[in-house]
Amino acid sequence: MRKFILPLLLFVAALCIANPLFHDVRPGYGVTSIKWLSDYIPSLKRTPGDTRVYVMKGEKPGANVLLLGGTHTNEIAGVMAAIMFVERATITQGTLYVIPWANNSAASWQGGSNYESSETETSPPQFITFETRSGPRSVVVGDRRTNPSHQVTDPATYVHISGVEFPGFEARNLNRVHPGKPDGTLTEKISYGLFQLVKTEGIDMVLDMHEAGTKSRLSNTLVCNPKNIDMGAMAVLDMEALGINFKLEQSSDEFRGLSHKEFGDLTDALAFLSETPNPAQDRGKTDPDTADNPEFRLDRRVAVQVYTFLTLCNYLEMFTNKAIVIENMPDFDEIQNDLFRCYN
Amino acid sequence: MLAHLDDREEPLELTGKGGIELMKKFVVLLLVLSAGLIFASQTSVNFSEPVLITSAGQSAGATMMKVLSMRAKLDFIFEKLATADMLENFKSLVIVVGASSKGLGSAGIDVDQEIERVTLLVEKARELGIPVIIAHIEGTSRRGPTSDRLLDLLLPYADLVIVTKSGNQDGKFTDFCQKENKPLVTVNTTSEVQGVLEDLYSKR
Repeated sequence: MRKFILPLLLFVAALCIANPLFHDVRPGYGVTSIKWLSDYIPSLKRTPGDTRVYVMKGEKPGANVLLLGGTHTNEIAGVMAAIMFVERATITQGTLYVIPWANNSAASWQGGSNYESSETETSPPQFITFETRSGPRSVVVGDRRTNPSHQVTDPATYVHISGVEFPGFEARNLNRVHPGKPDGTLTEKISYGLFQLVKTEGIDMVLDMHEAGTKSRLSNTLVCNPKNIDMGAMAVLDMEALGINFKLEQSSDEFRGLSHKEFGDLTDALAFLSETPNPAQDRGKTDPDTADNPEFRLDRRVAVQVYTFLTLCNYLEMFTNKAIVIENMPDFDEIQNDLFRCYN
Repeated sequence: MLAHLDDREEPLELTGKGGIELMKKFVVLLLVLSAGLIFASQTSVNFSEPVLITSAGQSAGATMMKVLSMRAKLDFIFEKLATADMLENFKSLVIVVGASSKGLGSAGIDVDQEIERVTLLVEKARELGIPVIIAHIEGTSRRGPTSDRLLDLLLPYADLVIVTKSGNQDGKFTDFCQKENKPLVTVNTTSEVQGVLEDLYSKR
Protein backbone atom coordinates (compact mmCIF):
# COMPACT_ATOMS: atom_id res chain seq x y z
CA MET A 1 0.00 0.00 0.00
CA ARG A 2 2.79 2.37 1.00
CA LYS A 3 4.40 2.11 -2.39
CA PHE A 4 1.29 3.72 -3.91
CA ILE A 5 1.22 6.65 -1.52
CA LEU A 6 4.19 8.55 -2.93
CA PRO A 7 3.08 8.31 -6.58
CA LEU A 8 -0.43 9.29 -5.50
CA LEU A 9 0.87 12.31 -3.63
CA LEU A 10 3.01 13.28 -6.60
CA PHE A 11 0.01 12.93 -8.88
CA VAL A 12 -2.14 15.11 -6.63
CA ALA A 13 0.70 17.62 -6.37
CA ALA A 14 1.04 17.65 -10.15
CA LEU A 15 -2.68 18.30 -10.50
CA CYS A 16 -2.47 21.12 -8.00
CA ILE A 17 0.48 22.65 -9.84
CA ALA A 18 -1.31 22.33 -13.16
CA ASN A 19 -4.46 24.04 -11.97
CA PRO A 20 -4.65 27.80 -11.89
CA LEU A 21 -4.37 29.76 -8.68
CA PHE A 22 -7.75 30.58 -7.11
CA HIS A 23 -8.40 33.86 -5.38
CA ASP A 24 -10.77 35.26 -2.80
CA VAL A 25 -13.01 37.42 -4.97
CA ARG A 26 -16.58 38.07 -3.77
CA PRO A 27 -18.58 39.02 -6.86
CA GLY A 28 -21.42 41.45 -6.41
CA TYR A 29 -24.77 41.89 -8.17
CA GLY A 30 -23.12 43.26 -11.30
CA VAL A 31 -21.48 39.97 -12.30
CA THR A 32 -23.75 38.16 -14.75
CA SER A 33 -21.44 35.23 -15.59
CA ILE A 34 -17.93 34.00 -14.95
CA LYS A 35 -15.83 32.70 -17.79
CA TRP A 36 -12.28 31.45 -18.06
CA LEU A 37 -9.57 32.72 -20.33
CA SER A 38 -9.36 29.12 -21.56
CA ASP A 39 -12.83 29.62 -23.07
CA TYR A 40 -10.95 31.67 -25.68
CA ILE A 41 -7.90 29.39 -25.97
CA PRO A 42 -8.75 25.83 -24.86
CA SER A 43 -5.10 24.76 -24.53
CA LEU A 44 -4.87 27.04 -21.47
CA LYS A 45 -7.42 24.96 -19.56
CA ARG A 46 -6.03 23.29 -16.40
CA THR A 47 -2.80 25.24 -16.67
CA PRO A 48 -1.47 27.85 -14.24
CA GLY A 49 -2.08 30.45 -16.93
CA ASP A 50 -5.84 30.09 -16.90
CA THR A 51 -7.70 32.86 -15.11
CA ARG A 52 -11.22 33.97 -14.40
CA VAL A 53 -13.01 36.47 -16.61
CA TYR A 54 -15.83 38.25 -14.79
CA VAL A 55 -18.58 39.30 -17.18
CA MET A 56 -20.84 42.19 -16.18
CA LYS A 57 -23.53 42.62 -18.79
CA GLY A 58 -25.94 45.53 -18.72
CA GLU A 59 -29.57 45.30 -19.80
CA LYS A 60 -29.08 47.82 -22.61
CA PRO A 61 -26.60 47.03 -25.39
CA GLY A 62 -23.61 49.32 -25.58
CA ALA A 63 -19.84 49.32 -25.54
CA ASN A 64 -17.85 46.23 -24.63
CA VAL A 65 -14.91 47.04 -22.38
CA LEU A 66 -12.05 44.93 -21.03
CA LEU A 67 -10.38 45.91 -17.75
CA LEU A 68 -7.11 44.14 -16.96
CA GLY A 69 -5.35 43.97 -13.60
CA GLY A 70 -2.43 41.74 -12.74
CA THR A 71 -0.57 41.74 -16.01
CA HIS A 72 2.23 42.26 -13.48
CA THR A 73 0.82 40.80 -10.27
CA ASN A 74 3.14 42.78 -7.97
CA GLU A 75 1.53 46.00 -9.30
CA ILE A 76 -1.19 45.58 -6.79
CA ALA A 77 -3.26 48.77 -7.23
CA GLY A 78 -4.49 47.52 -10.59
CA VAL A 79 -5.46 44.16 -9.12
CA MET A 80 -7.31 45.82 -6.24
CA ALA A 81 -9.10 48.20 -8.62
CA ALA A 82 -10.22 45.32 -10.83
CA ILE A 83 -11.55 43.38 -7.83
CA MET A 84 -13.50 46.44 -6.71
CA PHE A 85 -15.35 46.60 -10.04
CA VAL A 86 -16.24 42.90 -9.75
CA GLU A 87 -17.54 43.34 -6.23
CA ARG A 88 -19.22 46.76 -6.36
CA ALA A 89 -20.09 47.87 -9.89
CA THR A 90 -23.34 47.32 -11.71
CA ILE A 91 -23.65 47.88 -15.43
CA THR A 92 -26.84 49.27 -16.95
CA GLN A 93 -25.55 49.66 -20.50
CA GLY A 94 -22.81 47.78 -22.31
CA THR A 95 -20.70 44.91 -21.02
CA LEU A 96 -17.65 45.03 -18.80
CA TYR A 97 -15.17 42.15 -18.80
CA VAL A 98 -12.82 42.18 -15.80
CA ILE A 99 -9.72 40.04 -15.36
CA PRO A 100 -8.07 40.85 -12.01
CA TRP A 101 -5.07 38.54 -12.65
CA ALA A 102 -4.27 38.66 -16.35
CA ASN A 103 -1.11 36.60 -15.74
CA ASN A 104 -2.32 34.20 -13.07
CA SER A 105 0.92 32.22 -13.15
CA ALA A 106 2.82 35.33 -12.07
CA ALA A 107 0.57 35.53 -8.99
CA SER A 108 1.86 32.16 -7.76
CA TRP A 109 5.38 33.22 -6.80
CA GLN A 110 7.84 35.96 -6.01
CA GLY A 111 11.31 36.23 -7.40
CA GLY A 112 12.20 39.86 -6.96
CA SER A 113 11.90 40.46 -10.70
CA ASN A 114 12.75 43.94 -11.81
CA TYR A 115 12.94 45.77 -15.10
CA GLU A 116 16.54 44.99 -15.96
CA SER A 117 17.29 41.54 -14.68
CA SER A 118 15.94 38.09 -14.13
CA GLU A 119 14.81 36.93 -10.70
CA THR A 120 17.43 36.12 -8.13
CA GLU A 121 15.35 33.84 -5.94
CA THR A 122 12.12 31.89 -5.97
CA SER A 123 9.75 32.13 -3.05
CA PRO A 124 6.02 31.84 -2.37
CA PRO A 125 3.93 34.95 -2.98
CA GLN A 126 3.03 37.25 -0.12
CA PHE A 127 -0.44 38.44 0.81
CA ILE A 128 -2.05 41.71 1.78
CA THR A 129 -4.49 40.83 4.55
CA PHE A 130 -7.34 43.08 5.53
CA GLU A 131 -10.78 43.21 7.10
CA THR A 132 -13.93 43.83 5.11
CA ARG A 133 -17.61 43.89 6.08
CA SER A 134 -17.66 40.13 5.39
CA GLY A 135 -14.64 39.42 7.55
CA PRO A 136 -10.93 38.91 7.01
CA ARG A 137 -9.52 38.22 3.58
CA SER A 138 -6.30 38.45 1.63
CA VAL A 139 -5.05 39.39 -1.81
CA VAL A 140 -1.91 37.85 -3.24
CA VAL A 141 1.08 39.97 -4.20
CA GLY A 142 2.93 37.99 -6.85
CA ASP A 143 5.65 38.70 -9.34
CA ARG A 144 6.15 40.68 -12.53
CA ARG A 145 6.70 37.62 -14.69
CA THR A 146 5.34 34.11 -15.24
CA ASN A 147 6.47 31.58 -12.63
CA PRO A 148 9.66 29.96 -13.99
CA SER A 149 8.44 26.56 -12.82
CA HIS A 150 5.50 27.00 -15.23
CA GLN A 151 7.64 28.14 -18.18
CA VAL A 152 10.90 26.47 -17.48
CA THR A 153 13.60 27.54 -19.89
CA ASP A 154 14.22 31.16 -20.81
CA PRO A 155 15.78 31.67 -24.23
CA ALA A 156 19.03 33.58 -24.46
CA THR A 157 17.09 36.27 -26.32
CA TYR A 158 13.34 36.60 -26.63
CA VAL A 159 12.40 37.54 -30.17
CA HIS A 160 8.98 39.18 -30.42
CA ILE A 161 6.95 38.29 -33.52
CA SER A 162 7.82 41.74 -34.87
CA GLY A 163 11.50 40.78 -34.77
CA VAL A 164 12.27 43.09 -31.83
CA GLU A 165 14.62 41.40 -29.37
CA PHE A 166 14.39 41.39 -25.57
CA PRO A 167 16.51 39.75 -22.84
CA GLY A 168 15.51 36.09 -22.52
CA PHE A 169 13.72 36.49 -19.17
CA GLU A 170 11.23 38.83 -20.82
CA ALA A 171 9.75 35.78 -22.55
CA ARG A 172 7.84 35.45 -19.26
CA ASN A 173 6.66 39.09 -19.22
CA LEU A 174 3.06 39.21 -20.46
CA ASN A 175 3.48 42.86 -21.39
CA ARG A 176 6.28 42.07 -23.82
CA VAL A 177 4.80 39.11 -25.69
CA HIS A 178 1.53 40.54 -27.04
CA PRO A 179 -0.24 39.47 -29.24
CA GLY A 180 1.06 36.04 -28.29
CA LYS A 181 0.82 32.75 -30.16
CA PRO A 182 -1.70 29.90 -29.92
CA ASP A 183 1.11 27.33 -29.87
CA GLY A 184 3.69 29.40 -28.02
CA THR A 185 4.93 29.48 -24.44
CA LEU A 186 2.52 29.69 -21.52
CA THR A 187 2.90 33.48 -21.46
CA GLU A 188 2.31 33.74 -25.20
CA LYS A 189 -0.81 31.57 -24.86
CA ILE A 190 -2.17 33.85 -22.13
CA SER A 191 -1.61 36.81 -24.42
CA TYR A 192 -3.20 35.03 -27.34
CA GLY A 193 -6.23 34.21 -25.17
CA LEU A 194 -6.63 37.88 -24.27
CA PHE A 195 -6.50 38.85 -27.94
CA GLN A 196 -9.05 36.16 -28.79
CA LEU A 197 -11.32 37.55 -26.08
CA VAL A 198 -10.98 41.07 -27.49
CA LYS A 199 -11.80 39.88 -31.01
CA THR A 200 -14.56 37.40 -30.07
CA GLU A 201 -16.41 39.76 -27.75
CA GLY A 202 -15.97 42.81 -29.97
CA ILE A 203 -14.17 44.78 -27.27
CA ASP A 204 -14.25 48.54 -27.85
CA MET A 205 -11.72 49.58 -25.21
CA VAL A 206 -8.99 47.92 -23.14
CA LEU A 207 -7.41 49.44 -20.05
CA ASP A 208 -4.39 47.54 -18.70
CA MET A 209 -3.67 48.75 -15.15
CA HIS A 210 -0.04 48.87 -14.05
CA GLU A 211 2.26 50.47 -11.50
CA ALA A 212 5.81 51.80 -11.72
CA GLY A 213 8.50 52.80 -9.24
CA THR A 214 7.88 56.16 -7.62
CA LYS A 215 10.87 57.73 -9.37
CA SER A 216 10.07 56.16 -12.72
CA ARG A 217 9.18 58.54 -15.53
CA LEU A 218 6.19 56.25 -16.17
CA SER A 219 4.71 56.74 -12.73
CA ASN A 220 1.40 58.65 -12.90
CA THR A 221 1.01 58.22 -16.62
CA LEU A 222 -1.73 57.27 -19.04
CA VAL A 223 -0.20 55.61 -22.08
CA CYS A 224 -2.39 55.66 -25.17
CA ASN A 225 -2.25 54.02 -28.52
CA PRO A 226 -1.85 56.94 -30.98
CA LYS A 227 -5.32 56.25 -32.40
CA ASN A 228 -6.92 57.12 -29.06
CA ILE A 229 -4.61 59.80 -27.71
CA ASP A 230 -7.28 62.52 -28.06
CA MET A 231 -9.54 60.52 -25.77
CA GLY A 232 -6.65 60.07 -23.35
CA ALA A 233 -6.00 63.82 -23.33
CA MET A 234 -9.63 64.51 -22.47
CA ALA A 235 -9.52 62.02 -19.61
CA VAL A 236 -6.23 63.35 -18.23
CA LEU A 237 -7.57 66.91 -18.22
CA ASP A 238 -10.76 65.83 -16.45
CA MET A 239 -8.80 63.86 -13.89
CA GLU A 240 -7.08 67.07 -12.75
CA ALA A 241 -10.40 68.05 -11.17
CA LEU A 242 -10.01 65.03 -8.88
CA GLY A 243 -6.46 66.02 -7.98
CA ILE A 244 -5.02 63.32 -10.24
CA ASN A 245 -2.08 64.72 -12.17
CA PHE A 246 -1.35 62.19 -14.88
CA LYS A 247 1.08 62.60 -17.72
CA LEU A 248 -0.02 61.68 -21.20
CA GLU A 249 2.14 59.41 -23.34
CA GLN A 250 1.67 57.59 -26.59
CA SER A 251 2.83 54.13 -27.62
CA SER A 252 6.19 53.99 -29.29
CA ASP A 253 6.62 52.29 -32.63
CA GLU A 254 9.91 50.85 -31.41
CA PHE A 255 8.67 49.16 -28.23
CA ARG A 256 6.67 46.13 -29.26
CA GLY A 257 4.72 43.56 -27.33
CA LEU A 258 3.06 46.08 -25.02
CA SER A 259 -0.70 45.99 -24.53
CA HIS A 260 -1.42 49.62 -25.48
CA LYS A 261 0.54 49.19 -28.68
CA GLU A 262 -0.60 45.74 -29.81
CA PHE A 263 -4.28 45.81 -28.75
CA GLY A 264 -4.57 49.21 -30.40
CA ASP A 265 -2.78 48.25 -33.59
CA LEU A 266 -4.07 44.71 -34.08
CA THR A 267 -7.70 44.98 -32.95
CA ASP A 268 -10.52 47.48 -33.21
CA ALA A 269 -10.22 48.29 -29.50
CA LEU A 270 -9.04 51.61 -28.14
CA ALA A 271 -6.07 50.72 -25.95
CA PHE A 272 -4.78 52.41 -22.79
CA LEU A 273 -2.35 51.58 -20.00
CA SER A 274 -2.39 53.36 -16.63
CA GLU A 275 0.52 53.62 -14.20
CA THR A 276 0.35 54.59 -10.52
CA PRO A 277 3.45 54.96 -8.30
CA ASN A 278 4.28 51.86 -6.25
CA PRO A 279 7.11 52.24 -3.70
CA ALA A 280 7.64 48.48 -3.66
CA GLN A 281 8.99 48.83 -7.19
CA ASP A 282 11.69 51.32 -6.25
CA ARG A 283 15.25 50.06 -6.55
CA GLY A 284 16.40 48.05 -3.57
CA LYS A 285 12.93 47.66 -2.06
CA THR A 286 12.08 44.12 -0.97
CA ASP A 287 8.80 44.45 0.91
CA PRO A 288 5.92 44.09 -1.55
CA ASP A 289 3.26 45.18 0.94
CA THR A 290 2.72 48.85 0.28
CA ALA A 291 -0.69 49.20 1.87
CA ASP A 292 0.62 51.39 4.67
CA ASN A 293 3.18 53.52 2.86
CA PRO A 294 2.32 57.08 3.96
CA GLU A 295 3.52 58.88 0.84
CA PHE A 296 2.17 56.55 -1.83
CA ARG A 297 -0.82 55.02 -0.11
CA LEU A 298 -2.44 52.00 -1.67
CA ASP A 299 -5.91 53.47 -1.09
CA ARG A 300 -5.12 56.52 -3.21
CA ARG A 301 -3.42 54.44 -5.91
CA VAL A 302 -6.50 52.22 -6.18
CA ALA A 303 -8.78 55.28 -6.28
CA VAL A 304 -6.67 56.73 -9.10
CA GLN A 305 -6.87 53.49 -11.10
CA VAL A 306 -10.64 53.23 -10.60
CA TYR A 307 -11.29 56.82 -11.63
CA THR A 308 -8.90 56.71 -14.57
CA PHE A 309 -11.00 53.88 -15.93
CA LEU A 310 -14.33 55.55 -15.15
CA THR A 311 -13.17 58.80 -16.73
CA LEU A 312 -12.12 56.98 -19.90
CA CYS A 313 -15.50 55.23 -19.98
CA ASN A 314 -17.19 58.63 -19.93
CA TYR A 315 -15.66 59.38 -23.34
CA LEU A 316 -16.36 56.05 -25.04
CA GLU A 317 -19.60 57.19 -26.61
CA MET A 318 -17.92 60.25 -28.10
CA PHE A 319 -15.27 58.11 -29.77
CA THR A 320 -17.12 54.85 -30.54
CA ASN A 321 -20.80 55.86 -30.60
CA LYS A 322 -21.33 53.17 -27.97
CA ALA A 323 -21.63 53.83 -24.27
CA ILE A 324 -20.99 51.85 -21.14
CA VAL A 325 -22.82 52.95 -18.01
CA ILE A 326 -21.22 51.85 -14.75
CA GLU A 327 -23.01 52.50 -11.48
CA ASN A 328 -22.60 51.97 -7.76
CA MET A 329 -18.83 52.35 -7.55
CA PRO A 330 -17.61 54.06 -4.36
CA ASP A 331 -16.67 57.70 -4.85
CA PHE A 332 -13.04 58.79 -5.01
CA ASP A 333 -12.82 59.96 -1.40
CA GLU A 334 -14.54 56.84 -0.09
CA ILE A 335 -11.87 54.68 -1.72
CA GLN A 336 -9.11 57.00 -0.52
CA ASN A 337 -10.38 57.14 3.02
CA ASP A 338 -11.55 53.57 3.64
CA LEU A 339 -10.25 51.32 0.90
CA PHE A 340 -10.88 47.93 2.44
CA ARG A 341 -14.48 48.78 3.34
CA CYS A 342 -15.09 49.18 -0.39
CA TYR A 343 -14.89 45.40 -0.84
CA ASN A 344 -17.57 42.82 -0.06
CA MET B 1 -22.88 57.29 -14.98
CA LEU B 2 -20.28 58.94 -12.82
CA ALA B 3 -22.74 61.43 -11.44
CA HIS B 4 -20.30 62.17 -8.65
CA LEU B 5 -17.79 63.53 -11.15
CA ASP B 6 -20.26 66.09 -12.32
CA ASP B 7 -21.66 67.92 -9.33
CA ARG B 8 -23.38 70.77 -11.13
CA GLU B 9 -26.73 69.45 -9.96
CA GLU B 10 -25.75 69.46 -6.30
CA PRO B 11 -27.37 72.10 -4.10
CA LEU B 12 -25.05 74.86 -2.97
CA GLU B 13 -23.61 74.23 0.47
CA LEU B 14 -21.69 76.85 2.32
CA THR B 15 -20.55 74.68 5.18
CA GLY B 16 -18.97 71.25 5.56
CA LYS B 17 -17.55 69.28 2.65
CA GLY B 18 -19.79 70.97 0.08
CA GLY B 19 -18.73 74.39 1.30
CA ILE B 20 -15.08 73.49 1.04
CA GLU B 21 -15.61 72.19 -2.49
CA LEU B 22 -17.42 75.40 -3.42
CA MET B 23 -14.63 77.44 -1.93
CA LYS B 24 -12.05 75.42 -3.88
CA LYS B 25 -13.92 76.07 -7.12
CA PHE B 26 -14.16 79.78 -6.29
CA VAL B 27 -10.42 79.95 -5.67
CA VAL B 28 -9.70 78.13 -8.95
CA LEU B 29 -12.02 80.50 -10.79
CA LEU B 30 -10.26 83.47 -9.20
CA LEU B 31 -6.88 82.09 -10.21
CA VAL B 32 -7.99 81.58 -13.79
CA LEU B 33 -9.55 85.02 -13.96
CA SER B 34 -6.51 86.63 -12.39
CA ALA B 35 -4.27 84.78 -14.84
CA GLY B 36 -6.37 86.25 -17.62
CA LEU B 37 -6.14 89.75 -16.15
CA ILE B 38 -2.40 89.44 -15.68
CA PHE B 39 -1.72 88.62 -19.31
CA ALA B 40 -4.33 91.09 -20.52
CA SER B 41 -2.48 93.82 -18.70
CA GLN B 42 0.89 92.59 -19.92
CA THR B 43 0.30 92.09 -23.61
CA SER B 44 -0.94 94.49 -26.19
CA VAL B 45 -0.76 91.88 -28.92
CA ASN B 46 -4.07 90.92 -30.46
CA PHE B 47 -4.49 87.17 -30.85
CA SER B 48 -7.01 86.28 -33.55
CA GLU B 49 -8.45 83.19 -35.17
CA PRO B 50 -7.91 81.00 -37.09
CA VAL B 51 -5.13 79.53 -35.02
CA LEU B 52 -2.46 77.07 -36.12
CA ILE B 53 -1.46 74.75 -33.27
CA THR B 54 1.68 72.67 -33.53
CA SER B 55 4.22 70.83 -31.43
CA ALA B 56 7.89 71.45 -30.87
CA GLY B 57 9.29 68.13 -29.76
CA GLN B 58 6.28 65.91 -30.55
CA SER B 59 5.24 65.19 -26.96
CA ALA B 60 1.60 64.59 -26.09
CA GLY B 61 1.28 68.14 -24.72
CA ALA B 62 0.29 69.35 -28.16
CA THR B 63 -2.66 66.97 -28.12
CA MET B 64 -3.65 68.38 -24.73
CA MET B 65 -3.60 71.87 -26.28
CA LYS B 66 -5.77 70.59 -29.12
CA VAL B 67 -8.36 69.36 -26.61
CA LEU B 68 -8.17 72.58 -24.60
CA SER B 69 -8.68 74.59 -27.79
CA MET B 70 -11.68 72.45 -28.72
CA ARG B 71 -13.16 73.08 -25.30
CA ALA B 72 -12.43 76.80 -25.63
CA LYS B 73 -14.24 76.68 -29.00
CA LEU B 74 -11.34 78.16 -30.93
CA ASP B 75 -11.27 78.13 -34.71
CA PHE B 76 -8.05 76.19 -35.15
CA ILE B 77 -6.14 73.60 -37.12
CA PHE B 78 -3.93 71.14 -35.27
CA GLU B 79 -0.93 69.94 -37.21
CA LYS B 80 1.87 68.35 -35.22
CA LEU B 81 4.33 68.79 -38.07
CA ALA B 82 3.12 72.17 -39.35
CA THR B 83 5.42 73.79 -41.86
CA ALA B 84 6.14 77.43 -42.59
CA ASP B 85 4.20 77.41 -45.85
CA MET B 86 0.97 76.64 -43.96
CA LEU B 87 1.10 79.86 -41.95
CA GLU B 88 -0.36 82.24 -44.49
CA ASN B 89 -3.87 81.01 -43.73
CA PHE B 90 -3.67 81.75 -40.02
CA LYS B 91 -3.77 84.77 -37.73
CA SER B 92 -1.95 83.30 -34.74
CA LEU B 93 0.40 80.43 -33.98
CA VAL B 94 0.53 78.27 -30.85
CA ILE B 95 3.60 76.10 -30.33
CA VAL B 96 3.51 73.55 -27.52
CA VAL B 97 7.03 72.68 -26.44
CA GLY B 98 7.85 69.22 -25.10
CA ALA B 99 10.40 66.75 -26.41
CA SER B 100 9.47 63.09 -26.60
CA SER B 101 11.69 60.47 -28.16
CA LYS B 102 8.60 58.30 -28.71
CA GLY B 103 6.79 61.17 -30.43
CA LEU B 104 9.77 62.10 -32.57
CA GLY B 105 10.22 58.43 -33.46
CA SER B 106 6.57 58.06 -34.42
CA ALA B 107 6.85 61.17 -36.58
CA GLY B 108 9.92 59.70 -38.24
CA ILE B 109 12.14 62.66 -37.46
CA ASP B 110 15.06 63.46 -35.16
CA VAL B 111 15.63 66.47 -32.92
CA ASP B 112 17.68 68.34 -35.50
CA GLN B 113 14.94 68.00 -38.10
CA GLU B 114 12.39 69.18 -35.54
CA ILE B 115 14.53 72.19 -34.69
CA GLU B 116 14.87 73.05 -38.37
CA ARG B 117 11.09 72.82 -38.87
CA VAL B 118 10.10 74.99 -35.91
CA THR B 119 12.84 77.53 -36.66
CA LEU B 120 11.48 78.03 -40.17
CA LEU B 121 7.99 78.25 -38.69
CA VAL B 122 8.71 81.02 -36.18
CA GLU B 123 10.85 82.91 -38.66
CA LYS B 124 7.96 82.87 -41.12
CA ALA B 125 5.53 83.96 -38.40
CA ARG B 126 7.77 86.91 -37.62
CA GLU B 127 8.00 87.78 -41.32
CA LEU B 128 4.20 87.66 -41.69
CA GLY B 129 3.56 89.48 -38.41
CA ILE B 130 1.64 86.53 -36.97
CA PRO B 131 1.68 86.55 -33.15
CA VAL B 132 3.15 83.48 -31.48
CA ILE B 133 2.21 81.78 -28.21
CA ILE B 134 4.84 79.46 -26.76
CA ALA B 135 3.30 77.02 -24.27
CA HIS B 136 4.83 74.45 -21.94
CA ILE B 137 1.98 72.60 -20.28
CA GLU B 138 3.31 69.19 -19.20
CA GLY B 139 5.10 70.15 -16.03
CA THR B 140 8.50 69.33 -14.69
CA SER B 141 8.63 65.88 -16.28
CA ARG B 142 8.90 67.55 -19.67
CA ARG B 143 11.83 69.81 -18.76
CA GLY B 144 14.67 67.62 -19.97
CA PRO B 145 17.68 68.90 -21.97
CA THR B 146 15.98 68.53 -25.35
CA SER B 147 12.83 70.34 -24.24
CA ASP B 148 14.98 73.12 -22.77
CA ARG B 149 16.97 73.33 -26.01
CA LEU B 150 13.71 73.87 -27.88
CA LEU B 151 12.55 76.41 -25.31
CA ASP B 152 15.79 78.37 -25.59
CA LEU B 153 15.29 78.49 -29.33
CA LEU B 154 11.61 79.42 -29.32
CA LEU B 155 11.00 81.67 -26.31
CA PRO B 156 12.62 84.72 -27.99
CA TYR B 157 9.92 84.51 -30.69
CA ALA B 158 7.04 84.46 -28.19
CA ASP B 159 4.49 87.24 -27.97
CA LEU B 160 3.01 85.39 -24.99
CA VAL B 161 4.30 82.52 -22.88
CA ILE B 162 2.05 80.03 -21.07
CA VAL B 163 3.52 77.62 -18.51
CA THR B 164 2.22 75.39 -15.75
CA LYS B 165 3.54 76.13 -12.29
CA SER B 166 5.25 72.76 -12.05
CA GLY B 167 7.04 73.36 -15.34
CA ASN B 168 8.51 76.60 -14.00
CA GLN B 169 9.86 75.36 -10.69
CA ASP B 170 13.36 76.55 -11.54
CA GLY B 171 12.06 79.97 -12.59
CA LYS B 172 13.32 79.61 -16.15
CA PHE B 173 10.20 81.12 -17.69
CA THR B 174 9.87 83.86 -15.09
CA ASP B 175 13.51 84.87 -15.48
CA PHE B 176 13.36 84.90 -19.26
CA CYS B 177 10.10 86.81 -19.49
CA GLN B 178 11.19 89.42 -16.94
CA LYS B 179 14.50 89.92 -18.69
CA GLU B 180 13.00 90.10 -22.17
CA ASN B 181 9.81 91.90 -21.10
CA LYS B 182 7.56 89.14 -22.43
CA PRO B 183 4.08 88.50 -21.00
CA LEU B 184 3.91 85.27 -19.02
CA VAL B 185 0.81 83.38 -17.86
CA THR B 186 1.39 80.81 -15.16
CA VAL B 187 -1.36 78.28 -14.52
CA ASN B 188 -1.68 75.79 -11.68
CA THR B 189 -3.10 73.00 -13.80
CA THR B 190 -3.14 72.22 -17.50
CA SER B 191 -6.94 72.47 -17.48
CA GLU B 192 -6.69 76.15 -16.58
CA VAL B 193 -5.17 76.84 -19.99
CA GLN B 194 -8.69 76.54 -21.41
CA GLY B 195 -9.74 79.67 -19.50
CA VAL B 196 -6.61 81.49 -20.66
CA LEU B 197 -7.45 80.68 -24.29
CA GLU B 198 -11.05 81.78 -23.79
CA ASP B 199 -9.88 85.14 -22.47
CA LEU B 200 -7.20 85.51 -25.08
CA TYR B 201 -9.57 84.87 -27.97
CA SER B 202 -12.56 86.63 -26.36
CA LYS B 203 -14.63 83.48 -25.98
CA ARG B 204 -16.37 84.47 -22.75
